[in-house]
Amino acid sequence: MTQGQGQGHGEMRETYPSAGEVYRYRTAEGESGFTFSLDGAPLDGAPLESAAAGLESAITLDIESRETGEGLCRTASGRAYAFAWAWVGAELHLWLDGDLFVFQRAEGRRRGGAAGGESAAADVLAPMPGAVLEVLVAEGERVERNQTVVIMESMKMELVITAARGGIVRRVAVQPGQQVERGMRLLELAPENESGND
Amino acid sequence: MFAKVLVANRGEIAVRVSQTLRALGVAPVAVYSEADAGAPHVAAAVEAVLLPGRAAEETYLNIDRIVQVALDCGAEAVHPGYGFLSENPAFALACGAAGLSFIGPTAESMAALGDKVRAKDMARRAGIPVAPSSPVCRPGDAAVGEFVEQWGFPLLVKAAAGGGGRGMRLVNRRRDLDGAMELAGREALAAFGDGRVFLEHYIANPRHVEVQVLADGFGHTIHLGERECSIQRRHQKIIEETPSPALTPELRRQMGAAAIAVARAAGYVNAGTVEFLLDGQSGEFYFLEMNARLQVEHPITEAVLGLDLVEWQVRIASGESLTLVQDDILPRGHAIECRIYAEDPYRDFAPSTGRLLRWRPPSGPGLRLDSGVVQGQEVSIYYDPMLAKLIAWAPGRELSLRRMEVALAQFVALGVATNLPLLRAVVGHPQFQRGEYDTGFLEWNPAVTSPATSDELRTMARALAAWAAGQSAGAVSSSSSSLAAPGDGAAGRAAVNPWQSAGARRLP
Repeated sequence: MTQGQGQGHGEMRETYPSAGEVYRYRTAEGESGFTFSLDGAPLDGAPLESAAAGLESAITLDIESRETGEGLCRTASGRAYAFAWAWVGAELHLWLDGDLFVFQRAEGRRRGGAAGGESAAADVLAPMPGAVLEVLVAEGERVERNQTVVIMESMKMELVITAARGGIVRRVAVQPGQQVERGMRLLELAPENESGND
Repeated sequence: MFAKVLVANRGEIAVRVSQTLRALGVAPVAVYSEADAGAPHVAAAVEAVLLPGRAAEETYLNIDRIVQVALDCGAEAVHPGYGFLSENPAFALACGAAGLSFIGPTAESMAALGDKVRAKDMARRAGIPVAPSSPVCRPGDAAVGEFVEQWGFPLLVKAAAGGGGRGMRLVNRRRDLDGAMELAGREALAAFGDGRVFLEHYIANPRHVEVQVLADGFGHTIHLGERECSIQRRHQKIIEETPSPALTPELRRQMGAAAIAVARAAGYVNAGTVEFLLDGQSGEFYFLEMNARLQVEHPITEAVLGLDLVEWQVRIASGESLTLVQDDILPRGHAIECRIYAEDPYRDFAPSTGRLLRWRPPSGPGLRLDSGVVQGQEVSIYYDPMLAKLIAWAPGRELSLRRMEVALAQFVALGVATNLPLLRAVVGHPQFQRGEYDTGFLEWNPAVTSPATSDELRTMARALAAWAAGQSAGAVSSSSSSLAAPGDGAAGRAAVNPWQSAGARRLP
């Protein structure tokens, strides 16, 4: 991980607005400001997915942080951009010049990697609190990736919940009318015997 | 004039109504749910009364409770805002029965206009063009077959009690019709307690233009010009402007006269809005519905006329006559409003909840912000995800759009996803800037609902994220984590990120 001063390096995952990319970077604070470079080298032999595609690999910013969570940065060309950030749990939310970006520390997790997260990733979770309107699948049924499996209502709107990957419904954990919290398991999915390639 | 008025609403509209009441020397009383303790609309009033519970049904939709609160606090009148009970005739009747003035139209005209089928008949009788539609019908009815025979597909299934796009379905094929009617009926039943539906001929790519009217209790009705509301997502408006780039002075005069005719036919008193579909090519327009309430987008009318519509609502309800005449209505300049929603424009507008960790609206010449939230507030699942409305005015359209674009780029909101980048993309879009758009704008321009960040900005964002992560790795982390909501444990948030969720259902 990076330090506040001096040299640093780390891996982060960009989750918003474009999701899922892990990138490795190095940072240094020098006289000219804060220098950041994307590290395009492979991680453990697995190529970084378009880590530096189309992006400059290095940038130097003059960062002026007026208070915690806010600041102004200047590019080498002298253009100034306002920014603000806040941690939302494990997510770093960054507002920059009118756009929102969300990052997580990658902590060694690889995109497309298996292990640990597999069963959790296969289950269907409630994206936000609300009420279950309909469960469209039954236990033992096979579902396709992106298939609509549950309809919820939240904030006066219907939410269509889709399966993030294909599998067999091992358990239906909710019933219509039930109130659910954010993150509550709606369906347990047993992955089919396939390479868990998402 | 009243001495005390209960504001039966929440969010930005309750704040805005209270502000006018204070300016008139009237004491505003707020009601609030348990989820809204500490909300700005509570602070905006001089008294606030808790409505136990959180769900809208227990609180802001609870007629008996609200009427009792109004009587207990000694209010003489009730302002319903928009949404919630604002167009509920039973509420207006309950207020009247309790001896309270209802700041809005009578229950009778509300009931007549709330039934879309009756409202269309009324407009037709008043000689106003109406989109072809069937009577109320059910799957398999003869009326369904007759309508399809005559008008074909695509068609719209609409709720008789509908509004705001709820209970509405676009149907392209015969075999989808029965299912769509059932689905729309169920949705309408859930939303309005009335599952009746009807069919309407679908007018492709219309513009949505509405006319504000004001009528007093002495038979004096005027119109306050139009608002162009064609930029919509899920059939709900997100950007409105006035004057409409599509109207000629002659069309404006015709639509204004039609709006007044509809209001008169409904015996309408107070502020109301007549909505039309406009064929931008032919200039033909059709009556859609009349909204018996103050509209969300009323501030743009206020901006070009220098009027306070809530002030007129209160004056009319207190028995004053309208001292304005049609010739006084001389719009000046151009105004645009953007509705800021806690929703993700890149994930099918899925609503986003959480704590507003940073909320810094812009300010500047010609800007107005009607906001219902403050920094640190929790955006909950219980109510509408609209956070605020930003309004820009300028002597001309080009400058007012520029003011809006600049302001949107400066609007800092962190903690929940917002539609701010989408709004900016639309306002900056060449087609929008030329005024060439209709209700299909977002569908025809999918690019505006995709992230459109330059590579340079993305690299900079990554750099700043790395820097910020480094900043908070050490001593600073305690202060930044204190910004996070209690209970927003890392595990809970990391497991489910609202931006990875499934999209909200996009109505056809």
